[in-house]
Amino acid sequence: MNTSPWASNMRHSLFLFALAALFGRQGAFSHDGGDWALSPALFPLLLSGSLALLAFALFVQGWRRLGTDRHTASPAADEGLSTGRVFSVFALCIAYALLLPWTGFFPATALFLAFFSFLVGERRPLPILLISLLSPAAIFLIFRHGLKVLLP
Amino acid sequence: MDLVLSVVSQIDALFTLFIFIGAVAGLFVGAIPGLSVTMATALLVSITYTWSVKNALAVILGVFVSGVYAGAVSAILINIPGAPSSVVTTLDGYPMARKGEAALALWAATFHSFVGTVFGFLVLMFVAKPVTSFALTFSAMDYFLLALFGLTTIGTLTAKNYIKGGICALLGLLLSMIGIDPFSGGVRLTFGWFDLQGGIPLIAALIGLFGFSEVLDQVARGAMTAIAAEAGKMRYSFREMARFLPLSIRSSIIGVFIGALPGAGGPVASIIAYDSARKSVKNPSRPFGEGAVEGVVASEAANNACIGGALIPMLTLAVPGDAVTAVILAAFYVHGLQPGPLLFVRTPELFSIVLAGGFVASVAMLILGMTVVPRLSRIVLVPKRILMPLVTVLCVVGTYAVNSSMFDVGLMFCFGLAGFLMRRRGYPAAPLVLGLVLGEMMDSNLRRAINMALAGDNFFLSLFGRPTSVVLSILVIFSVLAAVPGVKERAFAVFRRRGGAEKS
Repeated sequence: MNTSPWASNMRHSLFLFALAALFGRQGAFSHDGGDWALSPALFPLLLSGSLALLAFALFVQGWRRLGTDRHTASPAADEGLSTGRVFSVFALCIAYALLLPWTGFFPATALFLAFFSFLVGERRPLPILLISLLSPAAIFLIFRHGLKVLLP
Repeated sequence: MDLVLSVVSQIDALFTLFIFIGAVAGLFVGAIPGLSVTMATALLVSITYTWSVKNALAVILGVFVSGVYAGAVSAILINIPGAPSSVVTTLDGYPMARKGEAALALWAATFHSFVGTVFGFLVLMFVAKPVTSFALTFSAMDYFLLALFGLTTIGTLTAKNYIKGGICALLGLLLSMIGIDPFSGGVRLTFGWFDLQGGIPLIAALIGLFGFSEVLDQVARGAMTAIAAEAGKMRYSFREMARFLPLSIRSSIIGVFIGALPGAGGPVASIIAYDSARKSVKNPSRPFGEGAVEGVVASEAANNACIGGALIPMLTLAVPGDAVTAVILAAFYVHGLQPGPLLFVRTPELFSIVLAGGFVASVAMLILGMTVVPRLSRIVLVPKRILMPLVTVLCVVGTYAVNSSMFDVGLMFCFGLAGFLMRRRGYPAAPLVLGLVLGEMMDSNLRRAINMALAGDNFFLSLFGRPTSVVLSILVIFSVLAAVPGVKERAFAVFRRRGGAEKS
């Protein structure tokens, strides 16, 4: 696969075309049968059309620049980044969101904070213990009792 | 002179104390994403129902002024805007914090929010009526064009590739169409999901795109040390800030005017003021978008000046300029008062109370900004392996606080992942959020304008024939053309050639 940012822009444009088509189709469904000029479908269709137009412009820009910048391709956007760790953290967050309604705020948050800080490099037991126990308690006190805000 | 004396006579110890209490509450509410100033004001209306009007207004104005300013605190320190009007502040505020200038960014935000607020209330005091008359000449098409101008501007400002900025703005507008159409009551773009009928929750998108995506970005980079090695000096130099006063005043003028347009508000004002600063400041401290203090000054002065601006139509015509002034309007009615042209005849002291409240609240905000807020800037010194898990929990709590919905929390995580991927591929988040904010206003005004134009003799003349519409249309066209590579250079070359021909 070509790693040039312009080639990547061309791939994005295809995804954006699909998105424009999807939104355009859904937008057309919301037409109420009346005058098109006043229809709820008008603005979504205008926006989908504009999105398709800009996706086309992105494709053409990528196509033209790919030819001229062939020898000056810059490094890929993800170079030097740990995408594996990002997806581990994202999975942990989803698990936290699923756990919250079952266990309640305090236990779920304590577990989440302990795992998260371990995952991003905190290895000392005392800071992990302090973060995972003290911060949920502080957040609970401030939000629930101080600001009267409902917590998950 | 009588008005000035009347304003001064309203200020006493109890009035000042209530304003300070409100300002402290506003500082926390505004700085925590998910807790909005509108929500706090609405809560206060019910709590202060039995109080005297003067004390009730004192607390409400304290929360309002301080809350609008406090949105910048989290925007600068952790890249999560406390409110949509602070989105533009993140563009330069957070890069400043990363470069070890968190305290300077906060001081600039504090001082120029103060300047903006005072300017807004001075305009309210002296020229409320002419401003209202001009604001009322804006038609539905003008509102649409104003929002379109804001979006084309932010698209140009935030992305190196203008096409990508435009794509993000369009995606934001499309996402804002999800939910129930306010005109017909029909459901749009929900893809059959019942939970989406209420629309995309703005706070979930805001927190996800700015806050959670930042967490993922930091995790991806791997270095879990502090955001910056230092928070910057803690000394306050008024002289240092005074050199930005001309820019601050210019931004405040934009803020007051946009604030006086019902429905436009802080987000539009801060974008336009930021764009104006980018064009007018010849030698910024750093390039805009990379930590220019001028960017923070323009955005914060404009969004705080909106407060005075939004109060103008509310007090003179009983038309609220934004959501918070709508709640304040309700507070007036709760206390048996009637804003509008007769307010100045029947209860002139009320106008003085509002003005006195605004001025004292801006001083309270300045004092809190100089005493409490700099201590917060030390957040940037906390190692990220401790800060990022805590920020994630705050993202969850802030999102859940709005609708008590776990669906919103899930959406926030999805927006965060999308924001992370967008950031890595050069798609800016700010136009998407602003598209989400302005979408409904653009849709309803466009359809209203078309509806009225269809009833007129000439469709296009009815839509674009008014002087304001012509000016705004030209601004939109220039804003788009200026972003197209080569157009600006060619235009300059043509002007230069013509200039040369005239001289010879």
